[in-house]
Amino acid sequence: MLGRRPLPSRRVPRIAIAALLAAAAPARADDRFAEVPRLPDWIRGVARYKAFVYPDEGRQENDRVRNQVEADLELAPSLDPLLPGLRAETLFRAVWDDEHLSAGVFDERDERRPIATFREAFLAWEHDALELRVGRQIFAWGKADLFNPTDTLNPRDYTDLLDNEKIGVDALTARWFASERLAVEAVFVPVLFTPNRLPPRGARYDLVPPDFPIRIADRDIPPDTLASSQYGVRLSGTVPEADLDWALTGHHGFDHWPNLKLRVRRLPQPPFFEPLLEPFYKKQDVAGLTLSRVFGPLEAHGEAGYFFHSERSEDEYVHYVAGGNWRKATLADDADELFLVLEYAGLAPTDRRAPGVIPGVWTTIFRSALLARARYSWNGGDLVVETTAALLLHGEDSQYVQAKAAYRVFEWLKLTVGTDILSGSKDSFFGQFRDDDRGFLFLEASF
Amino acid sequence: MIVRLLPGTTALALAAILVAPPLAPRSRAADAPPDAREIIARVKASRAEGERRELEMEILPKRGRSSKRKLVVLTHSRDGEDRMLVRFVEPHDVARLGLLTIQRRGEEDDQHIYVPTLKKTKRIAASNRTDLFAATDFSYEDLRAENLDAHAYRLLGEETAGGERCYKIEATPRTEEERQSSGYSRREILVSTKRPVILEIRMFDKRAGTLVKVARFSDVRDVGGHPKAHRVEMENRPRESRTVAITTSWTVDRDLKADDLTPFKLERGN
Repeated sequence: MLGRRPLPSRRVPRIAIAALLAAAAPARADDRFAEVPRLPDWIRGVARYKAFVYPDEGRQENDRVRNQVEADLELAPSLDPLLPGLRAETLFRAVWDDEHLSAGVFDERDERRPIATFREAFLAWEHDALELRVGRQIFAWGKADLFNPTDTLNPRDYTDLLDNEKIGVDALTARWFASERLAVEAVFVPVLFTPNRLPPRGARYDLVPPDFPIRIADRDIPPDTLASSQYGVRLSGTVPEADLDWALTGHHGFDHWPNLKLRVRRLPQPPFFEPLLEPFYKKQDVAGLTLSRVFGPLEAHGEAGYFFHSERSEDEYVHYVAGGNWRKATLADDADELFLVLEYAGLAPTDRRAPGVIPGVWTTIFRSALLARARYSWNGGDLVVETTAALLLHGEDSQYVQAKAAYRVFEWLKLTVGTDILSGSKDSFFGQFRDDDRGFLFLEASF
Repeated sequence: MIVRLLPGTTALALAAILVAPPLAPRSRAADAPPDAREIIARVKASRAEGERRELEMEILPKRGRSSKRKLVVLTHSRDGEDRMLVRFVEPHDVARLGLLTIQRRGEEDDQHIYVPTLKKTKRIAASNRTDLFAATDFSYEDLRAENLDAHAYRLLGEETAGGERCYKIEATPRTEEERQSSGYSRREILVSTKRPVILEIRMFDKRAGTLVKVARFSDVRDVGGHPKAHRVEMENRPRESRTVAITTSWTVDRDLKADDLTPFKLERGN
């Protein structure tokens, strides 16, 4: 008799009920699909354990092991009884680690990542071709695979530079699906500006070198006024006859990366003056264009953002990425798949930098970079081996390579092991972290 | 034709029965062989414009562990255009992943994927029709709507499948494109003589001409006046594995429009 194992996930409690059924019921061909009490599909959860192991103390002389535990609870109930077409989506995240990288709760603007927060929490209402959303949201603009210069609405949490993710923003969104070929999206992020969360001072991957001679002042975050509101518009289209997708985007808001302003602080005693670097966030506008087309087994895409400023006092440039992906199924076995991505990211300045502002190198890490990914998936994802690489070609060369393998132990349990390797000269972006290579292990249980 | 009204028969089912002629065309002489293409056309027509299915699939390899997929499938068919949205529910690491396939007559398939972890919808190179769907024993070709224009159909006789008398129909690629893209040299399709439903398909390899796959359909129930097999078992002989697909819910979705199955709306939960 094959397949007597019950569906392990979404059954409550899985093991007890499965054992009870197996003992009580005679084996029949379709018992595997017998009805068992389940959690509704709108409730999901993931418990995640992460361990990072570093062979070296690194430039900040940090601990060699970091343990981290995360729990996600996702609720997406339909609220049709209240109002037809209404639903809610929330993703609650709790995180703890033994390196004290997390602190406080719910405040996404804190320099430390919150121990508990809502990554997303919004109400969505659909009526005919219109959808409205209000609440904390995560957006994903752009069609490129590894780097999206037009995806500027959300800040990112770089508490762990190499294990980063987007931070939700509190926004109002309206989407109008004008036809099956055209959609319009308007986003308004009122008052509150949330910057990128940088690695904490002294932590691994701190972007400020430990021997940096000038003190960094507190962040100068734009005031919580209506003038700090951001908005964005996206027109997306698809042309089936040409296998083509396109998008035009516009975002008026802020650069989520800080720029640094040099200030001098008076001291009551010698040396009487102290130089300070003050992080601040400049307003910016981004006009974007995205194209994606399929040529047989190849998907090719291009994405470009023109970064400019209404006051014309800052740098202006075009940040772009061009590349493609290719996938091939049925290699060693019919259920396997190989997926390859190759992209080139570049930056072309179009106007001069404002005097007195120290270049925000983080904003434009991919001034000239090759990005690549190779993924091989066995048996529909039971085992996935993936390598991702970023080669920075601007200035001093530096490289980052991540290799990992994810194994689906059970349908509800996944084990991932991998390594992050950074190399290059000490003055290069990735090279500054060359003593911070690491191995990692993730264990992820979902229900 | 006498139709006996059964208790609980819905008005829609009745309408379908009354409107639809019996599977073997009665206009012909009683001993005249039924037209094979017409039988397949009747099977293809026996569906609603919009349908919603909840599926559980279990892949049972000869060696190694079995694995399961739980899916929601929305289909919309109209004017020679077929749209299918597959939304994964399980396994959890791919939950909410959506795959939209749009088939237009005489054109390459359009395929778009929504990856929930990235919140991104992307156009992807359409799968080869011979590729396996989600590592099951079904290929994309097996999931497509039957393309009547691309095949020649021939009645081979009658045979019993699933306890029912069936027409045994051979389908062979008729167009050069179909010959190129299909993984099969021919198929034997067993259609019930009593109702427009397929009960077995035998698929023969393109190169060697050997039997490579057998799909057995059972648990036929009425869905909106159309008989639908709620259980399919696909036996894949070269792989030495089987996939059992059970439809746990199959409903006609009258509100489903072609506009609901577009790349823009892939992100929504459905």
